[in-house]
Amino acid sequence: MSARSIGSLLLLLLALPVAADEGPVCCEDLVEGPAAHRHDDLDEPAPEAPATPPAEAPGGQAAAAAAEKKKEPDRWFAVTGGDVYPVTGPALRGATVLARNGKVVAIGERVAVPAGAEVVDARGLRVYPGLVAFDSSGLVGSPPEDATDVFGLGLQIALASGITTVGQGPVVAKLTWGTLEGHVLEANAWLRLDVGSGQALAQLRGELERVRGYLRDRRAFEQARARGEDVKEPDRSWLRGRPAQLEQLMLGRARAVIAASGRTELLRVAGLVQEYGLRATVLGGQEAWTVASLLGRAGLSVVLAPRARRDADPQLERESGWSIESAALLHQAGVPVAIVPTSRSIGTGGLGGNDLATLNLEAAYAVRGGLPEAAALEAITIVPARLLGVADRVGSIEVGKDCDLLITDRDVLHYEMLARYTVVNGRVAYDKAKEALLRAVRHSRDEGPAETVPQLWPRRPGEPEPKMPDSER
Amino acid sequence: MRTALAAALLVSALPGLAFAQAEDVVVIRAGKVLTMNAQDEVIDHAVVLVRGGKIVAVGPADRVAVPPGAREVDARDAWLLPGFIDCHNHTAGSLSDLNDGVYLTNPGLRTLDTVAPENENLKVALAGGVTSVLLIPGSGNNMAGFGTVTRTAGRTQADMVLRAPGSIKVAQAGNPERYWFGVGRAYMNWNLGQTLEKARAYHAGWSAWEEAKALADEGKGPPPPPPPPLDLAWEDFRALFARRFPASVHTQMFQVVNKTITMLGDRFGLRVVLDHSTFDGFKNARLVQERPEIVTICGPRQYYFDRAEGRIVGVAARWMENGLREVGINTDAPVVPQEELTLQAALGCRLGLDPYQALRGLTIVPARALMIDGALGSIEVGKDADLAVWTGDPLDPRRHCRLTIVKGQVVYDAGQGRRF
Repeated sequence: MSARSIGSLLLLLLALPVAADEGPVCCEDLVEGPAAHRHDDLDEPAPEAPATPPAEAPGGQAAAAAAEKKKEPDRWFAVTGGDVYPVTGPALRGATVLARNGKVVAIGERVAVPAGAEVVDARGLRVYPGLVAFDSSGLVGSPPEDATDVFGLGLQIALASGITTVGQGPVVAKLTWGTLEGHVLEANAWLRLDVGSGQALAQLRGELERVRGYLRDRRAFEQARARGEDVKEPDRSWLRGRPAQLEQLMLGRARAVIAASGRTELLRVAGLVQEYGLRATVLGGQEAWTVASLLGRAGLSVVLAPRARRDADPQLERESGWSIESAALLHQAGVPVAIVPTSRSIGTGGLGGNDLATLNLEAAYAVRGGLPEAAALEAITIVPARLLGVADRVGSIEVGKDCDLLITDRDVLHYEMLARYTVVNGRVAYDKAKEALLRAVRHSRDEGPAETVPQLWPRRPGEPEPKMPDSER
Repeated sequence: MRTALAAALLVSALPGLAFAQAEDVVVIRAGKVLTMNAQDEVIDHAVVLVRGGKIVAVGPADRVAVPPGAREVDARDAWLLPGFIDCHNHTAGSLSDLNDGVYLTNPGLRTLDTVAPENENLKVALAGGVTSVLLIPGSGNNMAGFGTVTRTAGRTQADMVLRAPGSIKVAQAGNPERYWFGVGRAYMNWNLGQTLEKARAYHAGWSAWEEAKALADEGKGPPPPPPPPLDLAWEDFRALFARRFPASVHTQMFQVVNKTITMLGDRFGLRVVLDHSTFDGFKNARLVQERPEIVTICGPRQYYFDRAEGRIVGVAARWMENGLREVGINTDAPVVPQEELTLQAALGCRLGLDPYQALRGLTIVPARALMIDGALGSIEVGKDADLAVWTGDPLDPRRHCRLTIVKGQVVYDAGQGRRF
């Protein structure tokens, strides 16, 4: 079979579910059949992925049979009946998100689910894109493709908090539970620039000037050559390593991340990026609210922790110090805002509320300061995805993007929000009911009996041993 | 920030908002009042009437007669709650006096000397709706001194302080070990016991003398012997043993909490506040249940990672599941900033604590722990008007404190300069 015919088969398979976007799909046969296994059946082990593509695929059945030996069968995955909040579009009530081989192929209220698909019943639940943490620590190994612990506790806690993609330094990785497949999203998302002191800024300017000089010479050379003049090509042998990265930056092909929190530093950053036309993101930005419009005009984006303190300087006449309203003021000034917690790791020591496990609550604090709720959700999904250069893959629920989902029974910004399921690359990476981690946590409004292990001491003589709930055995 | 500060100063300078006169009447109209009283009353479209800094009426708007000329606080789109109370604070003081660690037990020291009115941390605490705290010394030694129950608002110590001594701070384990090589739990408990025995003997000596003197004064007994020598190291312990204030105990983990209950509670007969109560301390729930005077305050660690089971356990929720009727919540500020007391409660709820119980844990439960529930901790007639207006559920980080009222006067107004 030629590559072309495999391609056309793929197209045919693709065409079916996508059509659901346009309107109802009436093909009854395609609605979840008995072969589809549901994720709420806890006792039943998940059957293997269907060995064949949906038999209903119109045409090319013989071709499919021929292709079977060469090609992995399609892996269908669906989340049905949930309220879907795609972030980049309006909410859909009781909708289905269908994914094939880890990519979303349809979103809608009447999407047909192929037989054999793995199905998560999300009726009564909310479906959000997996959260994106612009910056993290301790979750991604070095190098990630070899060293990430994909069964790590921190990774599972992050998934339980709804996070599916993290930046760690310039590496962007997905929290693929139990597999390194599809783990690394971007190996080099940005370049760090240092303007922390006048000396550092001077050095950086020197480097940028040298690259700018080269680019000017290069342009002059190309123009001269176009005129047919015999000119010498400018030397680019030194443009390796960091100078080469700076060149990419100045050509607008790469992004910079610059740590700056005080107003003086922020003004330095704004001046620099305007002077050299850089695409840059400020990390920190505690006093950014005092120069919000200026940062907006410089085209900067800001990654901040809404509660990160910086004391006001009582000797200054101007506004200074941290403000809970930072994110809102920046947003009003047109500055894209991504939100991170003060601590970028995952703790297990008990002191919560400041680390990645409550990324959603950080966004909630930005709402406290006046940021609209929609912008707060964007600040932990699509905005960091854009700033990390991976918005074509993650950060919203859209056809063509990766099927990374947070499925929960609460508003994502609510303080009781825990993931019920977390989906990465169209696979259930975390299921609250199956993992010991938070299985026993039950909220007061939840229905059904508590599933907790009684831990009472002392047990009085003659008292029966506490009965363990079934799920604890 | 500076303008915010200036605005805040301006607010306190406005004549209408200055210190409430004795007959100054304030009427607060609120969309929802969470009284936190024993009946768990929540009143929608309510009115709270304040006179001379005290609550004189609480009820639905159509049933409370509002006297003419009363100053109005319009919170009809908001929630009104009692000001929050934290049993574990280090930031009402200067912080540089956190922990005088001269000895492993330091009887006689008082945090009253370190209270620093209007410090920056307290201003933000007010913006978090926190109106009273127990300022205690650190836990670097087993007994670091006497705590002070204080308001967070006020220009002088006299304005602020509710009771001094407010508690004796005991750190039973899990920090004092660092005092010196070889200090472990057996020694610490022995040493703490020795110190308390000395204090108890001092109290007993004086009590015996006072009784003898009282009998002699009534002509019923012989002239009393000369009084025992006054010793300031032990003097404050007399009120402790008379149970006029509690021992607030830095205690966590099953075994240590167990010792707190049996040693400080049972052996010495003290009023005990289990402060922290973290890790697997919840295994003692039944012992606490059997001793209703003991109050359990959870935090700032709101969860315990159980390595054997591979699970995250919500500490407050588990104490409740194991039979407690109530728990309090603390911050250990500045370990967690004082204004984030509500977040601590929310984190408890995230792991299963009932939100209403969490709100009780910020109000009436700590008030009871600190034995100030006669004046604070709920919105009831006769109590002090220490209140906060919230834009919704205070546990939700999206909602903020709009107005903080202490003794009937506005001490923080987000509209005049937002702090949190």
